Amino acid sequence: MMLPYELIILLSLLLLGYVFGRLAERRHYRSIQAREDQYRQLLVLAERHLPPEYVTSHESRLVMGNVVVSVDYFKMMIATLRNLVGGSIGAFESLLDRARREAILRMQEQAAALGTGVVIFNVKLETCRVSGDASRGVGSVEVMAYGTALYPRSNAAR
Amino acid sequence: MTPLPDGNPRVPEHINNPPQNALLEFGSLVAMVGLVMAALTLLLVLLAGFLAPHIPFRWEAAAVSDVPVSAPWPQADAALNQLADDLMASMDPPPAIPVQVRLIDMQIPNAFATLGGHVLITRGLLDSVTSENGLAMVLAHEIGHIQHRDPIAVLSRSAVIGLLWAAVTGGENFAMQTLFGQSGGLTALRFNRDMERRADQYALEMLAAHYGHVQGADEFFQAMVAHQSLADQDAGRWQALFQSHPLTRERIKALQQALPAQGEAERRPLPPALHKLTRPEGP
Repeated sequence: MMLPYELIILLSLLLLGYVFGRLAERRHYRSIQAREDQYRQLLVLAERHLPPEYVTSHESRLVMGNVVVSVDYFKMMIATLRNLVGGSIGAFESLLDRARREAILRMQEQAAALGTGVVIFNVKLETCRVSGDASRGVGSVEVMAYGTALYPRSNAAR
Repeated sequence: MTPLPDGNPRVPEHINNPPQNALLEFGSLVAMVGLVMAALTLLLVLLAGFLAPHIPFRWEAAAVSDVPVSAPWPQADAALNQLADDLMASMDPPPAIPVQVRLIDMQIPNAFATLGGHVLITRGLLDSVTSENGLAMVLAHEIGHIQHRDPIAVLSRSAVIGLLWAAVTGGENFAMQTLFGQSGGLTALRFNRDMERRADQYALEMLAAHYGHVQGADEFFQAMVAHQSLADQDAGRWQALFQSHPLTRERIKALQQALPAQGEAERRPLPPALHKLTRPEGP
């Protein structure tokens, strides 16, 4: 007699991924939104050229933040199915959205330690897949944000 | 350079992170892919079932030149082959595909029909029947599978399904195969049960042609029911759904519908070469 054990295992993994993945995502978004409010005044710009007045009055330093987020089984399953029929993979879009914003927040956190009046210029983002063989098992993604933080010379004691 | 902004903008959540119902998306994806896969599978299965009987038997026989098991009882093999030949000769017209029978040393009572017209009978099966008629029913059933080209049909079917799944999933995606393979498997098994019923029907006709009656046709199945554990008998519906063979009791019922009209008729004893191999009244 053959029972669909494999099906039961699969459904449990899906349920596990869905419930915990969803919980983690919600909690993460709440934390991201709160911290974005906190760092609202710590400017993050993609501008490459520094304003002339900053060049004489400010010092510069590289700041960066990086984060690794894992895909849950449910998201991976949706993505696998999407691969067959095409279309945007919403499950991965929110995952990468979280990772990017988290990386920027960590970069801002590092810049905030430089004192008040900090502005981060020339912000860039790098994305990379972390787990080896993505066709098997759950993959995870790394996002790194980096930029040039300018802070007033008066803070330079640090 | 333009003056610096007052602060970072508030990120609009609905652009890069569109609100969505993941479960709904998952469900519709499964339904979409599942429907297409089921349709393709069904098409290929029908195609394979339709084409397989037209594969020339000598190709099949050439592919499997010999059964790779030893023959521990040549005399018993000869008796079994004689019985198979007699059964086939009694049909009008006699079946076209030659059958080779071999007794193998296994205690589990079973019989298989495989490629190349080979029928394997386990030694344990000899203990499960009390007369030649009971044995002939099993033999005729397997001969039926071979005359219907069932082994090659099953092989071609699993081959095309395997190819389809490998093409879609890249050959190694366990999760996808599990998700859709189960439903595909159910359809495939369903056809297998049809094959079983057809072979049973064929065997009854063969028995009637050879002995003039079908007494003893249910011997083997009755023995199976008697040996089945209590738990197995209670497994009921689930078993019927997932088993490749029709439930033993379902088959007995079908056989017994053929029996009563025949009345009580004499059953022949097992041929001596085979009777020697049965165990003296086991538990």
